[in-house]
Amino acid sequence: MNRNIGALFILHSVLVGAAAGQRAVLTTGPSPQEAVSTVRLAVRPADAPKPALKYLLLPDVCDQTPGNAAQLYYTAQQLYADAKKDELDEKIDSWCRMPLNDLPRAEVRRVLSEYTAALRYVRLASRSELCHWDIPVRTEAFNVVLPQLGAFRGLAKIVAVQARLNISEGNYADAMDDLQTGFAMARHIGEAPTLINALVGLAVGGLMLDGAQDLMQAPDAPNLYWALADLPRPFIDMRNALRWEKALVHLAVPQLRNLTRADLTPQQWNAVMKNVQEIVAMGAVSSAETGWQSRLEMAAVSIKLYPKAKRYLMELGQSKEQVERMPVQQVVLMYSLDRYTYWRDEMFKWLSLPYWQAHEPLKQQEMAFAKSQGGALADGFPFTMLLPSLRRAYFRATKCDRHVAALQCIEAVRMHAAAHDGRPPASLGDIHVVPVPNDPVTGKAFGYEVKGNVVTLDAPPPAGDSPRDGAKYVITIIR
Amino acid sequence: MQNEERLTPAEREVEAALGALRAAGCGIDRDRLMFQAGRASVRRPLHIWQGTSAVLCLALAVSLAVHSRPQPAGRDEYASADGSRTSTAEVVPFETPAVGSGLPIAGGQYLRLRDEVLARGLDALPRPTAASVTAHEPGPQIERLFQQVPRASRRWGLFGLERLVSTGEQS
Repeated sequence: MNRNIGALFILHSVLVGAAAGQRAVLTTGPSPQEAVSTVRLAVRPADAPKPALKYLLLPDVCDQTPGNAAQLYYTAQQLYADAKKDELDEKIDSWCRMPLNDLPRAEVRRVLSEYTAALRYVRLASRSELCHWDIPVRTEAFNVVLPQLGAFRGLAKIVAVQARLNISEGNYADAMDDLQTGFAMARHIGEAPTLINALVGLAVGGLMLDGAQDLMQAPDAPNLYWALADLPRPFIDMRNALRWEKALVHLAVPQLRNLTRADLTPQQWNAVMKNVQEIVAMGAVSSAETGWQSRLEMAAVSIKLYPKAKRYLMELGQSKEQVERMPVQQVVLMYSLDRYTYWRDEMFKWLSLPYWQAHEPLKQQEMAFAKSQGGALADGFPFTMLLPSLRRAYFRATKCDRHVAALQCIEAVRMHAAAHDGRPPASLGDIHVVPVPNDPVTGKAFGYEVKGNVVTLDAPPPAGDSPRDGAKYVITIIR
Repeated sequence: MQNEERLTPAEREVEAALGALRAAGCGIDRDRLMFQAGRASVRRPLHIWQGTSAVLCLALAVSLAVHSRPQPAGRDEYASADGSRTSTAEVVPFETPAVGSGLPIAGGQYLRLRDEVLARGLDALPRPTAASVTAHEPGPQIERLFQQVPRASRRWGLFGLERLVSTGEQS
């Protein structure tokens, strides 16, 4: 037996070694920094539809129904789970990506027919006037349970596949209907009061924009300029979710709201510290940089922070006697929370400005913040370790808006070409049929270049960021 | 008795056949039960071996999953002229541990999931699994009786504690 176990350990070591080797092989490929994000499209000239708003990417008010969408989404998720076959996951993923001509239509139709009920309910939900998820963030804060959020991933993909199937079969009206379902679902998910919801909403929106892109390339496809212009800007307002994110610490430990006036017994202070400690334990998982700190007991941290905290409060105007009368926990928490609030607001304030204005100062602020977290004990510890990467969150939202704006530009080019014998404009400034939107990431016009019937639209990454945050659209105009 | 005398030969034959019938047993063969019990007791030390293998396999699976995952975890999809979409890798800005596949997203996972979705988008969400279908339950069999150890007990059994708890025997 011992010999067998020994052999198994050796086998395990060999296999782990092999895995490490595999990793080494995998990481010797091209650096992701060098990756070029290029979208290649082939479109035909197309004038604006008549009437101009004939096609919309969100359900019209006339098509909406009163009531709360959330219940219908929950039913759709249940129906989806009932019909779901795990072994088809990869296939459905590939159907979202493969060339439309290669789509195995009969098989796609057969698989989608199993989701008929789920698709029907998700459509019903997307037509609802309101969507209140009733997520108890206010009472649960970091402990909030997000019901069935993962199922939206699957639901969004079958909606996207259905849209692709309809486009490939020339059923554009049905495809528009599917896209409306997906876009409305994305907005509904994104309106919930958590950053996760907003990010999932953006991802679903991105999936639907890919669908719109497919539709734009279809023969005799309608021009979607006005349909894209009709989408809300921002598509998902990240500030709603971030308002809640900003408040999470105070919602998780309500006593922190009145620390100055707090008159708690030692037991109550211990309870507050215990709450904080629990949050730190959660935060430790999310942050590699400060993870080691979470392992410190709060008591040890308090002892370490107390002299600094005491000096800090006295500098803010508290008398020495006042500070010394306070329990150690109160002094430490007041100091930490004050520092956390400083850093939090220094970063959150930039979200009130457009991304192209906020990017650089927010980046500087994040660098200063990162520096403040690198010492023996991070400034504002433990609360600062709970802050999300705001610039990344803001960029994700703006990236979605950039996708919309880029597609709108392409549609403007199609419209121009339709009025000029199929010739693309020499520059974006030459387009007079409709206004051309700017790139919301840079606040400037998209880069534009024409070579024959091939147009290149360039959306550079934010200044100083990786090229992977940029996008390039190479569009062939088919006459 | 008078009636008995009036029975026809055919009826007497039925009477004899019915009289030969015996009540059915409870379905549990004592000898087989004892055999299975003995076999189960012999198997226990094997559980250590099986348990060790399971733990090592799990460790190996985790190692493979963690080490073999290429750094560019998120993917952006792009359409090409023929309608296909090419993917462009995206770097995960920091180490992002995998989130369990349990649905709904459990409390306490918020921070971890938030950072993962921020880095990887929709793919960070756990895939929902198909609804479990209740299988047809076959009738009780002795083998099944031995397999139906409560989960917690099975876990103890892994380290030979089950016997220790139930019998007080030192392993």
